[in-house]
Formats: sequence, C-alpha cells, structure tokens
Amino acid sequence: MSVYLQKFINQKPYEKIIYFLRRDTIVFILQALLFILLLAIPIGLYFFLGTTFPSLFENTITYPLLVILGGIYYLTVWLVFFTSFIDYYLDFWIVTNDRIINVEQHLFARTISELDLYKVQDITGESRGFLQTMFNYGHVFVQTAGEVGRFNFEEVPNPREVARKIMELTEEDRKYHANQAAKLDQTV
Amino acid sequence: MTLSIFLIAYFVFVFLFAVFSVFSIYHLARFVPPSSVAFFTTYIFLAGAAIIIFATWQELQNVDWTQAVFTLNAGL
Repeated sequence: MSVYLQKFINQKPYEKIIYFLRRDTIVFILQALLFILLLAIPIGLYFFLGTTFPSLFENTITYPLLVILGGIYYLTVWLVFFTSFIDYYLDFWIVTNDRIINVEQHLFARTISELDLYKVQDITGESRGFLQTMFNYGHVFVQTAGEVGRFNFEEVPNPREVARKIMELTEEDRKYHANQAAKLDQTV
Repeated sequence: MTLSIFLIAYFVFVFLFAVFSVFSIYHLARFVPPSSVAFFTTYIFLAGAAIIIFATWQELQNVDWTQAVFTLNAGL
C-alpha cells in the first residue's frame, strides 16, 4: 500500500506521508444500515400485501409482474450500494509534509487535485450534528489563495486533530520555503 | 399484448445493470490501491447479483408468458 502511495503521489525524496484519510468508517456503516433497511422494504411489503390483498400473489398476471418489479428493485439497490462503496473507497486525501492531495471519484469522473502546504491560508476542522460529535468525525476545510480555492476533507476522523496537524505542517513548510528563498538570494 | 412484454422490459433492465456493473468493476480494478478489499467486494457484489437474478428466474419459471395482459377491442 505505501509503495503504491509513493508511486501514486510521485513522492519526492524529502517528502513524508503524514495522513492517508478516507471518510470515517461509521459513514460507511450508516450507509450499509440504510441499504439493509431498503432491502427489507419488499419483505415487509410482501407480508402486508399477502395479508390484505392475497389475490395479488395468486393472479397469473400480477404475480410475475410483482416478481419482476422486486427483482429490478433488488438489483438497483445492490448496484447503488456497490457504487456508493466505490465512491467511499476511492475518495481519499493524502497529507504529506509538503502538500495535500485530494482524490475524488464519481461515477464517470475522477478528479485529483494538489495543493502546496505553504499556500494554505486557513484551516477549519468541524464536527456538526449529533452523529459527528458522538463519533468524532467531520469536515476539514482548507482555505487557499491558489487556483483551487478550497479543499474539503469530507467526514474524516478526528477533524480538529487533522486541522491542527496540517496547520503545524503548513508553518514548517513556510519556514522551509523561506529558508530556501534566503539561500537562493545569498547565492545570487 | 402478451405477458412477455414484462420479461422483455426485465431483460433490458438486466442489460443496463450489466453495463453499469462492468463500468463500476472497471473503476475498482483500475483505480483502487492493490488490496484484497477490491477483490472481496467485487466477489460479494457479483455473488449477490447472481443470487438475485437466480431467485427471480426460479420464481418466474412456471409463468405462461403467452397469456394476454390487455385485449384490444377490434370494434374500436
């Protein structure tokens, strides 16, 4: 995995990977629970219709129609669940001591954006609502003056800790770049 | 119009499902960091899809698809 990441980000010799972040596991668990609920709906409907309109399941036209609709419903839910897992798994953020890399996956698109730490202007880590506060996950907003105006780490674990660490790294990277610039001035 | 129209609609849906599935699996295979998670998830997804299609097919085995759903009145 780390070798893959080193190649993926084209890691520089002095660069260290500090964070590899995905959405918190609880986000995926909540999605899975929602899908389990969606899978249970036709079963409930089957028992409800079976007791109130039993003729629906005896009729030679409505029965196959209901089976086909049920099949379509289950396949749709199953596919949406799979794509939402891919979306969860392939969206990630990498923080190194030099930059932030944001990888976002959509159904027909993949976006990879990068931000140098010394360009960061402001960082906010926040947990909103009951679940985020309870399970300590939330958003980290990275404000920059560059072309990519704002980086958003969505629903990552320990957002305030991540924001604090990125702020530290930003300060170190600024000092490093200032020293490099001073050295360059001396040589010229 | 016979009952087979529903079956045709179902086949069209299964075809679309297959197209989107291939696309999703391609995404997973192409972009995921190498790990057993991708393999395991794809396996579970394909197994689940096969079970759903098989269960539907089992339930529809004894259906007479030639029976009429609507009878159009010739006098109209």
